[in-house]
Amino acid sequence: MSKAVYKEKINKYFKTYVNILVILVLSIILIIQFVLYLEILFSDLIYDTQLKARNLANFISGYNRLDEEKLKYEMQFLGKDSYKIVKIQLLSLDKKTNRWKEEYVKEEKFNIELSNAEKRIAAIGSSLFQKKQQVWYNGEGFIAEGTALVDAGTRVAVEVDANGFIRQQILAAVILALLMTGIVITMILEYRLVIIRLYKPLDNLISGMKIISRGNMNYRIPVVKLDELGRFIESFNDMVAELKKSREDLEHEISVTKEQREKVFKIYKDVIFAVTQGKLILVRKDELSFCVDEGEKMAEVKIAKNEDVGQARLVTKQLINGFFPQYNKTQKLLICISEAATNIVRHAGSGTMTIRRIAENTIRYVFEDQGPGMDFNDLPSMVFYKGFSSKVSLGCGFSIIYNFVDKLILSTSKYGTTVAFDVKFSNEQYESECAAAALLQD
Amino acid sequence: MLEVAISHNDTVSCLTLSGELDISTVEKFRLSVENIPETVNEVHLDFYGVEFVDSTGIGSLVQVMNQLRGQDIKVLIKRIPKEIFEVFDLLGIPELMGEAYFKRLN
Repeated sequence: MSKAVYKEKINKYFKTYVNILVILVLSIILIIQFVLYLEILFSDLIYDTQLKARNLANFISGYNRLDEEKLKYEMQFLGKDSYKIVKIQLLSLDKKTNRWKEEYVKEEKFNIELSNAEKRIAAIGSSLFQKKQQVWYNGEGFIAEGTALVDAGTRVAVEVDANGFIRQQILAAVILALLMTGIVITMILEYRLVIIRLYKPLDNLISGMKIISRGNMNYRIPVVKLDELGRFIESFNDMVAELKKSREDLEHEISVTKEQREKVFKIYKDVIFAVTQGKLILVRKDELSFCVDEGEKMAEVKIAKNEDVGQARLVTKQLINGFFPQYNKTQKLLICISEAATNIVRHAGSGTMTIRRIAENTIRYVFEDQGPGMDFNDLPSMVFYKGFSSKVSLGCGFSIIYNFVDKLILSTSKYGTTVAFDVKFSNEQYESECAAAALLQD
Repeated sequence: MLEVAISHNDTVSCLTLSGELDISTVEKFRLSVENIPETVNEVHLDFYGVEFVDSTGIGSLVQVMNQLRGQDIKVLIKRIPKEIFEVFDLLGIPELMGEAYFKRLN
């Protein structure tokens, strides 16, 4: 990755985080200013109320006695601004009891009426800011109170309509809440933008990798931006293309090899067929079903342990005794059965023997297993090697089987081995013996 | 099934086999040979009662014969039934081990 791209990348993230920081700082300043502004409004109200009380006190002391008409006029004059005077009290000090006594009171209506909702919000607000006790709710509305001395024995108390002030406060609070919400939303959006920018391409990459790993080598992960991740995805795509190509090459190679093996197998099969004059037939696994399913099934024996070899012989013997009682090569056939069954136990672990009658006098013995199969290269020595060497397992008894039976079918692959052989049961010998006996009797 | 009966005097041991000699019984056959006393220098294997033998059985027979010969013990197989001898012959065992050591049942 070049330095410029890296720098640009750093800048992008830096900018985003600086943005968030600036918004945060600005919003904090804004909140502080808001609070200060509300504080100023509040002290302004208190100051104003106090001023009104002072003015009235000055006015009353100037006339030296209470003149209601003039006081009314003064009140109107003083109440012209937003904070209307709603109550004036003139109090004089009782020297005996040392308590203030009400001498004159004048009440006016509130200028502004608060709705119930506003009242509720104001109640919450006053419970939050309990120190501001100079403004309170008197049953009709919110008021601010100010007092001033006329002389040593007389005092004037003024109550001012603070509903407007409260409304202003509520409005300010609502605006502040909206502002805060806006800031939070902006920050979330900004942050999400970072996440999307960073994680969305990663998600694409991961899901794309999954698709490819499932075997779809034609899939390419889309490159949205040519940043470092984009470059990575690009080279990953190149790699997948390369992999696909080499796999295709390999598959081609395998198919060629397979073809050649098929050819070799066919030649092998033909040679063996010719050499054995059709007695030994090699078949592929897919051609096997015909050989295995031919004729009528007479018996089936599971072969999994050493004792099953004896069982296979017993079943064979019983069938021969039942169908061809005059057959005189039973012992040799039993050896063939024993050899084939022993091979299953030894090399495959388990399998089955099936006896099928494929013609009037022909029985097929089929031995199937799912073992590791055998090497075709060993076949000639196994089948054609006559006699017995001192090595116990060599030959696997195949030469015995081959020499005895009329037809031997063999199929072997890594999925298992099938050995099937046909035996013709002729009663010729028996019949000729009978004929000879008849002749002798004559 | 294979039954092995052993009888012996000072120098000759006789193993009388009866039953089938195949993959399920070869182990028993091999183990029975272990019981032969060390003083013996000749072992007779009586095959009169053997009903069946296959290449596995013959393989173990050859193994046992070679093992005993290794201990300088002479091995004689006697009273071999006709059908069993045919199998021996088929695999060329008398040829391999010496025809003189295989006595057919008359």
